[in-house]
Amino acid sequence: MKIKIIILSLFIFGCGEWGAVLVSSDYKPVLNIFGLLTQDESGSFIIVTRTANLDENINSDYYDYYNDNPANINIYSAEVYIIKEDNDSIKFELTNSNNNYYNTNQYTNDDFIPLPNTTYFLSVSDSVSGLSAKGELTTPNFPQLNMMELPDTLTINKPFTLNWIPSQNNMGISIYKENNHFEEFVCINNENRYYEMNDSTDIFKLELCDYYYDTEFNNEFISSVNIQLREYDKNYFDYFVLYDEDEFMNFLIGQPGSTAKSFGIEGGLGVFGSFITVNEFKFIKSN
Amino acid sequence: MKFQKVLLLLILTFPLFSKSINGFVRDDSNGEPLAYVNVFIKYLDIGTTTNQDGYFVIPNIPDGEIIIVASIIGYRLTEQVISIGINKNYRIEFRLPISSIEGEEITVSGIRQSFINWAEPSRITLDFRDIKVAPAFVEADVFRTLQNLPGVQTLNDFSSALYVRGSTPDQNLIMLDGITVYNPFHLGGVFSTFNTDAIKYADFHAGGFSAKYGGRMGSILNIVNREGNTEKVTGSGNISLISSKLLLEGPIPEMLGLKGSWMLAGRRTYFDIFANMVWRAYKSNNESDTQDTPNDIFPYYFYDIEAKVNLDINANNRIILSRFYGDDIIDWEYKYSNQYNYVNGEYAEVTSYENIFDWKWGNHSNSITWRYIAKPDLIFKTIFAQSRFKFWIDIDEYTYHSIGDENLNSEFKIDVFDIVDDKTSEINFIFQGNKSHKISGGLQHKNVKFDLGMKFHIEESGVDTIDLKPLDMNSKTTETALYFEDKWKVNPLFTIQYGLRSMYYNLHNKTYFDPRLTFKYNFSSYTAFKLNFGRYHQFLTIANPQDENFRFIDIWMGLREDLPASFAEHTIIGIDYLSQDDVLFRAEAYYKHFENLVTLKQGNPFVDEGDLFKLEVFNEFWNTDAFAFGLELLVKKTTGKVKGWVGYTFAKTMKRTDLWGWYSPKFDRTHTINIVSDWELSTKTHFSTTINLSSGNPYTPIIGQVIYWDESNWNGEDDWYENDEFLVGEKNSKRYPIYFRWDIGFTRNSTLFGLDVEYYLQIINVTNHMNPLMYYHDNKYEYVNGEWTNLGIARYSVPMFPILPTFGIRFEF
Repeated sequence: MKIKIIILSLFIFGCGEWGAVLVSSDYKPVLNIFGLLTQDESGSFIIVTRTANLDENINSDYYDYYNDNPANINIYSAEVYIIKEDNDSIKFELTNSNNNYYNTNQYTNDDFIPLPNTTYFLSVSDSVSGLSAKGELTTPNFPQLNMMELPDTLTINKPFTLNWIPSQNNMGISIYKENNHFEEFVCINNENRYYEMNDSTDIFKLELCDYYYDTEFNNEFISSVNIQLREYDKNYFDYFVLYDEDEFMNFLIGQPGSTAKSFGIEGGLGVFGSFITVNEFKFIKSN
Repeated sequence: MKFQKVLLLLILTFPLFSKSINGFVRDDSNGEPLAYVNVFIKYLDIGTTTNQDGYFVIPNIPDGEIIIVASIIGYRLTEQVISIGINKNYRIEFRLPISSIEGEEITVSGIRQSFINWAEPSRITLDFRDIKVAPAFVEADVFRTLQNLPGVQTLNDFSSALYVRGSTPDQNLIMLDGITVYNPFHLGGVFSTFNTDAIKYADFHAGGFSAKYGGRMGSILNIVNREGNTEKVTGSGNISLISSKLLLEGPIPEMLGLKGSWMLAGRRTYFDIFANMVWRAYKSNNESDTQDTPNDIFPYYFYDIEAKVNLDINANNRIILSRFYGDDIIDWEYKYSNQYNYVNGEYAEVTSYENIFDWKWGNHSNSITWRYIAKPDLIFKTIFAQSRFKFWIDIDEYTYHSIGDENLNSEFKIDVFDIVDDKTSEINFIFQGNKSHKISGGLQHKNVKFDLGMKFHIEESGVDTIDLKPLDMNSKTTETALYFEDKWKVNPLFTIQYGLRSMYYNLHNKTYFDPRLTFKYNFSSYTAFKLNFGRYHQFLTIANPQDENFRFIDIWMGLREDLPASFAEHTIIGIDYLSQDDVLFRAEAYYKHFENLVTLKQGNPFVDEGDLFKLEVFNEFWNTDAFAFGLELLVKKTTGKVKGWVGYTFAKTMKRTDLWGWYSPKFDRTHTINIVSDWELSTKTHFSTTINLSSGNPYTPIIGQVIYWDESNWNGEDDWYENDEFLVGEKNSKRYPIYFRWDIGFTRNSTLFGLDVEYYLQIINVTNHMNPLMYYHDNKYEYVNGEWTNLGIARYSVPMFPILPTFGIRFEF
């Protein structure tokens, strides 16, 4: 009888959780901000969103259209200020509140142009949600390419050296064909590289995209490339480059997830970053 | 030279007593040496126990006629009469016949002798019967059995790796006949690499191990293979659902005064053979539908071969050759072609592809051991061993492209490899010339080459060949260890075992010292109290992400120059009680302190460097602090109709990195109860069962949702796009539900075609309990009132083993 009871209890115990279980948490949302200060064409902007609890639906996958009432995590009612070192504050206004999928809540100020090597503060508060956050960054300097050692015209498949003035920030270099229209039938492999602070030189070689074009274009041609040097502040570089990967990577480890990543933001998540770009144009020839 | 002086000093320090008896005790049926046999002189309080080679020495023998007795449960007590006269040393050999009582199964147990003789705590020996007691996944497995011992934790059902008292598998020293094996698993850890049919016993130290062992912080597992039958050629086999095994053993014909034995065992999975056979038959009958499909549908198998030769040169010299080869192999080839551009009635353009995926990983080891009995009480063992772990993925893609008369070919090759080549030389001695002291020592020199790399080769017609090596990490490490140990029987009740192991590590150019100390006090013949302290350094690590659910291989590397030596300190207190009917009760508590551990940084694997991208994934570590403590209880019954053990473990392990702060590692289970038993229902039928009940493993929960931005820069144009993702909480701050698994097995002995056979049926997870391996989360939708409704975020479990019946047959001839 005892054995029967033991066996019976083992089977009763032996069930477990098969199937889906709805989950919840007592997580309190915070502001989630992407702020960029730059002199580039994109302009400076602050995107203000908030994080969400598990019982809200922010899912943007293909099932989304079933959902009649997606949670709106974009913040349209925020007071956004950029504050200079001298406490002079510049208000950023919501400039795009249409229903475009991306960047539906950019706060901008067309008159604002960030200065290099200057500290700026960010203040965001939203009276509707009661959430607020602050930020701080120091803009980088203009990167400087040493043009003296660079030939006037670059040659395909011939290495060349780029030298630049070393910086206390991380650098990025992109080299791409300036006009990459299909009818030109010349495709150059893009180069995108990142550098540690104090790096100052690297060797590049421009190559055609693949051998189809190589065989098609034995004749000489001349085109042009743009050499883009970009100096990043630490916040931007850390968020988008250094800690871009999830801590939980794949099925071998577990479901992808993110820790509360915050670079230059206090009281919330996200990034308050900056970069400054310079461009140099160079002609290229095939041989 | 230094070592020889130390050795000489040790020998001269202790007086050599007059007369001794020494020899071996063997199983009469097959000549296998018997360990832990009680050998004593009748009517006198003089005796000893055989060591693991079956050797014994009794010093200080009085003159005259004496009766010497050898006794162990399961064998008939055997006596020999010897006249002690003018000779100093007397060599005798016992051959014990198996005791045969009608209707009763033979049980062999040396548990009392090991209880009396072992000073160190946390040690347990499992013989092949113990290993086969527990129902196992598909077939018996020594690691699966060890996972049921107190102090040993497991990550999940798919892994047979051992997590011992807060130590990860890379901190275990796994040896086969004393030779280090670096990656002792098949199929990503589902099976261990050791063929249980070839195993004589497994000697397991969960902690507090003696100065003889070093180089690892966690535990020691020494698998000792059978020596081989010295009497006749015999064999055994096993056919299970996935593999078949065969073992042959026999004597070496005597010639030139030499004699000995050999053993050869092999195993291979065969699912690939059947699956590919069926697939090819299907393919030949459906050529049009399967034209561009591979020839093999299941290209994976594993095998292992173990061989051992024992050669007795004379009474005092023995040479042992040991070889082990075990590999997992994925060999896949796929060819297909496209023909298009039908021009003027002919195909103008043809593209053929050839893809080869060749992945092989495994261990090869070879060793030669010379055992020399210099004096009856002084034995030397010299070992030269080579152990090589090799992991190599070779992916080749060939494209043959022809347009009209022009041929354009391309090659794309990737090689990913990790090679560990360990060459070890060591010499050990044991000196038992003094009744109160058992002195041992040795010198070990270990050269290990680590080579971890990744290579690309790209070649296209008319375009430069590109060779990249984004990952290239190799190092040569040397560990030279010198150890000394004395087991000092202060009085009949009190024993001190003290030792020191010094290790020189070349990359640090430094010598480290590991003291080891054990006190043992026998309250009575049945109760022993033990207290142990030891320090354990380790100079190699693995570069695997710590949170993996599956681990196909361990990526080994020597500890870099700039990383301090990792070490652990074990403190153990325990009490053993062995009842009159040989039931062992053991209670042990431990505290383990780790320093300078390294934990691989997960994520951000690629770093741009020059015109090559460089993999940093294996080279960036978090400095990690850790500690573990726990309480373990064990009741083990080795005789009678019901055998097995019940173990309970309370364990707590904590780690700390700068990124995560303090957290419980993924393998941490606070409470664990394991019940392993074998019931002899009749002389021919056995019922076995294993029950595992434990706290769930920790995991990192999701707590919220967030969008994050990615950047894109194409042709100088910036774009930032949003992704949504779950926010995770504190690392490993929640636990999966209680783990429960109940396995059962039946065996039935019979005869078939004149062979002794054993049929077995095993059912894993007989209650089909859901033990989650991991969770994934997604929105849950239900079709309500004609439309899909989002109910919110739901958790879905990925299960470990569901209910799994397996069966097979063992046979002997």
